[in-house]
Order: sequence, then C-alpha cells, then structure tokens
Amino acid sequence: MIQINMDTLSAAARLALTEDEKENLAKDVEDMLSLGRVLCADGEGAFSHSDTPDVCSSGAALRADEPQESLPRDVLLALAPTSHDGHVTVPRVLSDEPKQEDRT
Amino acid sequence: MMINDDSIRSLASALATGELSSHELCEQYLSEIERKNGEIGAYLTVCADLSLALADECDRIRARGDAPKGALSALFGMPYGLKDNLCTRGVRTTCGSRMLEHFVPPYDATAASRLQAAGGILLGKLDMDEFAMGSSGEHSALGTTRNPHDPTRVAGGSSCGSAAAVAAGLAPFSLGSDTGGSVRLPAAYCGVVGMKPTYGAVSRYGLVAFASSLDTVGPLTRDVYDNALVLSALVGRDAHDATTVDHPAPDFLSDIARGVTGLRVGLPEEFFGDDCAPDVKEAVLRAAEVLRTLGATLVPLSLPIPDVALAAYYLLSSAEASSNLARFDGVRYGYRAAEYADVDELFSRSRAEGFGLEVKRRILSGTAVLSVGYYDEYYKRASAARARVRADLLASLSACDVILSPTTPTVAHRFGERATQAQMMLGDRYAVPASLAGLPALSLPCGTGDAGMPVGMQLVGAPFAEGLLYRVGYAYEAETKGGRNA
Repeated sequence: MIQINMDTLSAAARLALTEDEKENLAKDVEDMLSLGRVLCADGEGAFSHSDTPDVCSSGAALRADEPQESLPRDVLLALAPTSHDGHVTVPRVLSDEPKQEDRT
Repeated sequence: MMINDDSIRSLASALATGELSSHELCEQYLSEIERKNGEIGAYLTVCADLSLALADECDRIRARGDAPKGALSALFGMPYGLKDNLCTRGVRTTCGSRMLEHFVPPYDATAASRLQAAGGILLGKLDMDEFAMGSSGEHSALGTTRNPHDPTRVAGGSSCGSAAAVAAGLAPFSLGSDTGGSVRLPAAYCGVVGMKPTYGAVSRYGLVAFASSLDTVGPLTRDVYDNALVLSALVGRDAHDATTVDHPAPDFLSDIARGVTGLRVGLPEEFFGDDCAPDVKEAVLRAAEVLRTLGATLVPLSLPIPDVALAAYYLLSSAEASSNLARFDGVRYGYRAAEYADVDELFSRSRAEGFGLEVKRRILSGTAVLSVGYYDEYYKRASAARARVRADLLASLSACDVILSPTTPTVAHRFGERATQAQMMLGDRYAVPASLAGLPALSLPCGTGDAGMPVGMQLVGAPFAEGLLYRVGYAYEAETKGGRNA
C-alpha cells in the first residue's frame, strides 16, 4: 500500500485540511495512485518511455511577437477581493525581522 | 407554436417565416425555465433581460432584411445555454464552485463570442460538477441538476446542466466541455446528442482550465444535424489559443445525409464485456445491426485499452488539474477567506474553504503524481500509456472508418448510488480513450435501457473526422427516429 504524508502533500497543494479531511482524503489519494499499478501490468519497462506524446496532431503555430491590447488594469483590479492605490493587497509577504538562524 | 421538442432547424424556419419572433421564442424558453428549473436545476444563472434585449436586436435586424444568409443563419436569433465554465463578459461564471461563486468575467470565451457573432442569444449559465471534475453532476457546490427522464437519477457530468437543459426543453442547444467524457456521458444519460470534437478544433480560450491537454468544448443538441450546425460555428483557429488549428474538413453538413453504404464500423469487444450492463449492451448492438442493414460493414476489433486508458486519464488529468487550479489562491479574484494570519494562510484557507471535496481530492492526487519520487513512476508512465492508447486507436481506425461502442457502461444511476471514487470512475472507461487520443467522439441516443432510461452509443473517428461521425449518426437517427424506434 502506498503511504502518503498528508501533512507534506496538503502543504504542497496549499490546502488547509482538518485532521478528519486528511485521513479521509489520504485513502482517496492512495486509491488514485494505485491506478498506476495497471500501467505496470505489462512489465516494468512497458510504459517507461520518456517521450511526452504530441497532443496537437497538426502542430501549433505561434502568433507574431507583437504587443497587443490587454484587459484594462482597473477592470482587473475590480475583481480582486481587496485593492489599494492600484494594487491588489495581501498580508505582508516578507518580514522585517531576520530569521532566528540569521541573528548574530 | 410550442417549442419544447423542436430542433434548431425547425425553430429557425419559424423565425425565418415570421411565425415566431426571437423575442417570442426567448420568452417561451424563459417561461419554461421559470416553470421547470426549480425541479431540474439545470440553470445556475438566467439572463432574462440580456436575452430579451439580444432577441429584440435580432428581430430589428431581421425586419430590416439584414438577417444573415448561409448555413449558419439558422443560429441567428436562436437561444442557447452555456456551461458555467465558459467565461461570459458581465455574466457570472462560477464553475459550479464557491471559489468563483461571485466571479464576473471581463471577457468572453471564444466559443461564446463565436455563437454571439452568429446571432445566438444567451439564455443563461448551466450547472456543472465543480471545475468540471465529476461524472454524475453530484459535485456542484451551487446546485443539483436532476435527470429530466427521472428526477431521482443523475443527469451525468460534468456538463449536467447542459444536457438536462436540452433534454427538458429549456434550451434548443447548449455548449458543454469534455475532458474525459463530460459532454458525452451526460448526453447519453439524458438522451441527447453530444460531440467531443478533435482536440484543437475548437478554441479553449475562456474555458476555465481543468486539464489543458484534454479539455475540449462541444455542443449538446436534440439531433445530429443541429449538433453539426452548432459545431460549424465554433471550429477554427483562434489567435488566443495556440493549440487550435483550422479544421481541415469544416463542412459538416453537405454530406450529412450521404448514408453509410460501404462504411466499416468497428466493434471493440473489450467495450462490450462483462462490465457493460446487459441493457446497454443490447441497445448498442441493436444500433450496430441497424447500421449494418443500412449498408455498413461491421468489423470485430480487439482494443484492450479501457483499463490502461482509465488509469492514465486519472493520473494525467489530476496532475494537470493540480497545476491549473494553483491560480485560485484568494489573491487576484475569486473567494478569499475571511480570516488568515499571514499570506500562506490566505492561500491555504481560501483554497480549503473555496474548493469542494472532489476538487481537493484531484488536486492532492495530482500534486502527489507530480512530486519528487512519484513523477517517473506515475506521470511519465501515464504519459507513455497515453501514447500507446492513441497508437492503438489510430491502428484500429485503419481497419475501420468509425469505432462504435456504448458511451457508458450503464444508464444513469440514482443519486448517492455510486458512493466511492472507484465506482464513479468506472463510468468513464469507454469515454476516456478518445479523450487521451485527442480524437472526435459523438454520443447519440440509441433507445432505452432499464427503467426506460436513455442509452447512448458512441462513435469515435480519426482526427478531424467529425463530418463522418455526423454522417453515421444522421443515418442511424433518420432510420430509428432518434433511437425511439430502436
């Protein structure tokens, strides 16, 4: 059985889960990953080819690298939960306090 | 004139002769929505004022003699519904999620703008499994769509509202999205026609992404001709979506009545095995026999891909979903938690409170698939399996012109009947191979199964063979009156 560390996984997924949710979802994640066993059924190397298949059969054409109009700033800011002076506002990301291990 | 059972073609004729105006047509649909949506639950947002304003504009244009001519003119003044993961400027777009419950996009999806350019009239936005993750319609955070044939049963997902609206006469057509069966499966469960086009045929710009290498936009309609008509308006390269191409064979209508004489219809035995319910198997095999009597040749095939395809699909789509849904962080749009101590908690609480259980399940699984130590074992192996599925399907399509199978192993189940993730996944096993391979696949009704519930048959073709699929479907539909005489 695959063992999943739900603390690590939920942190990587940026999901604040309750302990009950972690327990219930752990089983679901393990079941999903268990599907991978089917892909080993033909033998260890059967599906180990490293190429990613080409999804677009005709190939994608890129447009010319020319600046174009985009959506107006005020229209996009109006979608934000909070904004101030033309910027989306969030809690402080960087602290002024040095980290404990950096202190001399 | 009553509108509920009418096709786009017959309604367009009534509009052209003046028997009906677009205003009257929209009023009738809005009245039906008001009458039935409380029970069916197909619509999350109804745009009554907008639709009547657009209808009046179409009527003015028609009165001046300036209505468009040509094949797409049938869409002029024609109402429709859109799955709620297609962005509509100024109209709420929720993806069936609390995360976007109050989100109003500032732009239109290309699919929406192409219908608008053809003169279509938006009636409203349709319910769906949250962020298109689900096969039953039971995972919407904002509504519950019921199967119009039996309200104790699911409509199928994730385009539950799109299918139910057409089946219940609440729109002449709708658009859905199909990543692993999400147009075809609800079409089968609700007894309507649904097309998943070739990947790249229809722009995904403005379709809120679930799995970017798998997502497609497709129409749901009452009959095959209507479906071909709507798809005609959607296909074509879009500068906003680099994965689109100009369709090499975009005339889906001229040859639609050509018949099936001489065509080879492949029947893959693994899609008619013990996992397929007897009533579904019988209905689809009867449909195959109808095609044979119409002049097609039935070709037995071996295509042992459903199990591998299902595994590859869920591993890859979860991985892509975990990446795509990382954008929902409570910062620039969408739900933000009310309480958080720092920016990390802003992210994690907003996402935990905004997403439902199924979405969390997929994000966590996808994060695991892409993590160090698991990437080679799961993601790369699933990618290789995907290549194998595509190769096997294309090889089969060299031995036949179309592949015929059931769309789903069973008819629509009752609410709550499929309690586990594993049970729910099995419903996708016939649909996901075409999704992985990027091939076109059409689901159309082929009679009824247990408890009188609709059964859907699926036709899969080579890349850009939508015209051929429509031709086969049209022939079957004409012979059996849409599966009613199946």
